[in-house]
Amino acid sequence: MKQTVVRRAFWCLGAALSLLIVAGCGGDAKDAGTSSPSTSNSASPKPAGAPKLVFVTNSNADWWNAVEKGMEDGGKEFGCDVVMKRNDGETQGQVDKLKECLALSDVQGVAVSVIEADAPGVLDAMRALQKAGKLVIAIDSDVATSATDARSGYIGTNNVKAGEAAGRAGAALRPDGGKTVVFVGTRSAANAREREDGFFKGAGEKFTRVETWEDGGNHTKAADNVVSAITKTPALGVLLGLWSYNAPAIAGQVRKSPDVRKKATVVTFDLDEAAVPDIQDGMIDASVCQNPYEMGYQGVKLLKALIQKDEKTVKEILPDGKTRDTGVRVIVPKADSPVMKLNKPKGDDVITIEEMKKWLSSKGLKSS
Amino acid sequence: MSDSADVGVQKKDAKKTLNRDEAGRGPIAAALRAPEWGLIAAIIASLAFIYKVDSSHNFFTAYSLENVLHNVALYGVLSLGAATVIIAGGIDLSVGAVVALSSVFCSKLLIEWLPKIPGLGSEITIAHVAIAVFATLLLGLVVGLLHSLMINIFRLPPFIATLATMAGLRSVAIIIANNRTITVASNTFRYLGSENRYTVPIFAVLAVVMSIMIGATVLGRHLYALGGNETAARLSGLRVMRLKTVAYCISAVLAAAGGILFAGNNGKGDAQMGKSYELYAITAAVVGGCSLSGGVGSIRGTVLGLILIQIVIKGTGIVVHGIDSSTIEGLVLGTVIVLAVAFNQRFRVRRA
Repeated sequence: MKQTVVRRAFWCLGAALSLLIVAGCGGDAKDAGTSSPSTSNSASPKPAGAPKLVFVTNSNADWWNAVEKGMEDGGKEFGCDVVMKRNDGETQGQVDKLKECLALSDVQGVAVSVIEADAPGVLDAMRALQKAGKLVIAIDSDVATSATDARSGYIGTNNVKAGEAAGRAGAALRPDGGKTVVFVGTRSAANAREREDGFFKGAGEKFTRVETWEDGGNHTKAADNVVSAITKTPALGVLLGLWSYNAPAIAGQVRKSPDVRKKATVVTFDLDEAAVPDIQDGMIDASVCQNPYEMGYQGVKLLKALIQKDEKTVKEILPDGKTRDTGVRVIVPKADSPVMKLNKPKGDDVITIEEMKKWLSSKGLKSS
Repeated sequence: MSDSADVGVQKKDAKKTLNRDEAGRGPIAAALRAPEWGLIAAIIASLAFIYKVDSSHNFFTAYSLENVLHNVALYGVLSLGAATVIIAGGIDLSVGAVVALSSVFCSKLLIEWLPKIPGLGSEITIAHVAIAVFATLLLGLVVGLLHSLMINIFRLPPFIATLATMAGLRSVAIIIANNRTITVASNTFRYLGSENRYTVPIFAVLAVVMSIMIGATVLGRHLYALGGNETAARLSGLRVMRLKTVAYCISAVLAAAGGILFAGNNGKGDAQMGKSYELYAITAAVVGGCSLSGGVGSIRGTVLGLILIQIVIKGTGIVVHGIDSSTIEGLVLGTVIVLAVAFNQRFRVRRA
C-alpha cells in the first residue's frame, strides 16, 4: 500500500517535470519555428530583415570556434543573421542537419563543411536545398570534383597545397628524410587524403610512409595509436598528425618518451588550443595552420553576395568563379627553426607560436 | 517464523557461504577451479603469440606495457560498474553518455563555474580539482538515482531506462558545453587521467574495493541472488529495490569517475566523448565471464577480460604488417569476444 502511494507520488512528480520540460522547450520552439536552431547552436545578433544563414560543421572540434568568430564578425559587418549547427562527426548527422535547414523556410543560405566529399546522402541534401531556392556553398572541406554542381562555391584551404607546405617543413627539419607514420581520424576524408598526398609530394622521395593509423575521431584512441606506432616502428623519422586533435595526442606521447623526441620530427595540422603549449615547449616542430576565421568571415560575405546577386563581390571573393583558397601559415616554436628559411618571399608564410598567439588574441581566439 | 527472522537467518547463511562457490567448495578449491584461469591462459597464449610473431618484441617494452596498463585503468573504471549491474541482472547502456556528461560537467566547473566563486581564483588548484571531482561524482550518483527511479518506481525495464538516458544525458552534455569542446590544459587536473602514477592506483583501489564488495560481502551475495532470480530474491526477503539502486548508483558513479579520467587524459571535456564506451565496458564484463542473464561473473574476471582485450587490440597493431592495422582490429577483437564467451558458456555447462 505504502509502495503504491510512493509510486503514485513519483508518477505525479514525473508528469509535472515532463510538463515543465515541455513548457521550457516551448520557448525555444517559438524561435525555432521562425528559423533559429536548437539551443546547442550559436547565434549572432539579428538585424531586422537580415538574410538568414546557417553554417553546418563536420564536427564539434575546437577549430570551429575560430570559424564561428569569423562568421559572427561577418554577420555583424554584413548585416546577416547567422547561426552555426555543429555536427557530431557522423555523415548521417550532417544529412539530418541539412534537412533541418530545408525545413526552415526563411533560411536563405547554407555553408557546409562536407564531411565526405562524395557521400551521396550529403550531396543529395545539398542539391535539395538548392532546389528549394537556398544558396549553398562549401567551406573548409569541399565536395568531390564530380559533384561541384551541389554548391555555388568553395571557401577553404587547398589541402594539397597545405600538405605540400607541411612536406617542405618536414624536409627542412629533416633533410635526410625518414620513415613517416601518419595519424588521422578518417583516412577516407577528402582533407586527409589531400594532406597526406601533399605531404609526400612536398617532402620528396626521402620520406616514406610506413603506416596510417586511424582513430575514428576517438581522442583516447588517437593517443593510443601514437604509442603503438612508436612501439612498432622504433626507427621512425616523422610523426605526421593530419587532424587538429592529433597534434596534442602526438605531443602528449612524445613528451613522455624523450628518446623519440630526440630522434623524430613532429609535423601537424591546425592549432588546437591544447597544442599551443606543446608547440611552445618544442614538442611539435611545425604545424600548418589554416585560416578558419577567414573562412567564416568570407563565407558570410559570399552567401550574402550570392543572395543579393552582387556579381562584383562574388567575383572579388571567388576570382576563378568557384573557389577561394584562404591560405595557410606554418607555425614553429622559435625563430631559429630551420623551417624559417622557407619564409616569404620564397613561398610559405612561417611565423613563431608567439606571433601566432598575438594574432589569436587580436581576434579573440584560442585556436585556429 | 516472522519475516525479519527469516531475513536474519538468510543473512547468517549468506555470511557462512561467502567464501564458498556455487558447489559449496572452500575458498582454495574454488579459486583453483575458478573460470578466470581460462582468461589467464588466453592472456598468456596471446602474449606468447605476439612474442613469437613479432621478432623485435616491441610489444614487451616498458613504454608499450605501461600504455596497455593505462588503458586497462581508464576503461576498467567503466567496466567495474558495468559488471556490477550485469551481475545484479541489469544492464546499463548509459555509461558512454555519463562519461560525456561528466567530462563536460567537470571541465565546465574547472574552466568557467568555479573561477567565478569569490576566493577560489581563476588558476586551477588542487582545491578546484577536488571540488570538481566531488561534484561530478555527485552528479553520477544523481544519474544512478534517476535510473533507480525509472526502474523501481516507473517499472521500466533497465534496457529502456538506460537507453533513454543514453540519449538524454548526451543531449544534456551538449547543452552544458554548447556543443563545443572545453579544453582543460592544467596538469593539476590532467595528471589524474594521463599519468599512470595516478590513473593506475585509482583504478587498482576501485577494483580491489569492488572485488571485495562483490565477492566477499553480504551485499555482494545479495546482488548475485538478485541477478540469479529476482523473484526468488524478493520472496527470500531481500530488498530488491534497494539492491537495484545500489547497483545502478555504483555504475553511474564509476562512469562519472571514468569521465573525469578521460577528460584528464584528453585534456578536454567533450559531449561527443564516450560513444560506444558502454559496449566496451559490457564487452569486458562478458569476456570476463559475466552472464547477461545475471547472477554470474566476478570483478577479477572482468579485469582479466579487459586486460585480454587490450592485449589483443595493442598486439594486433604491432604484429600486423603489410596492411594498416586499424582496418582489421575490429575483426580480431570480434573473434576474441566470440571465442571467450563460447569458452565461458561451455565451461559453465560442464560445471553445471
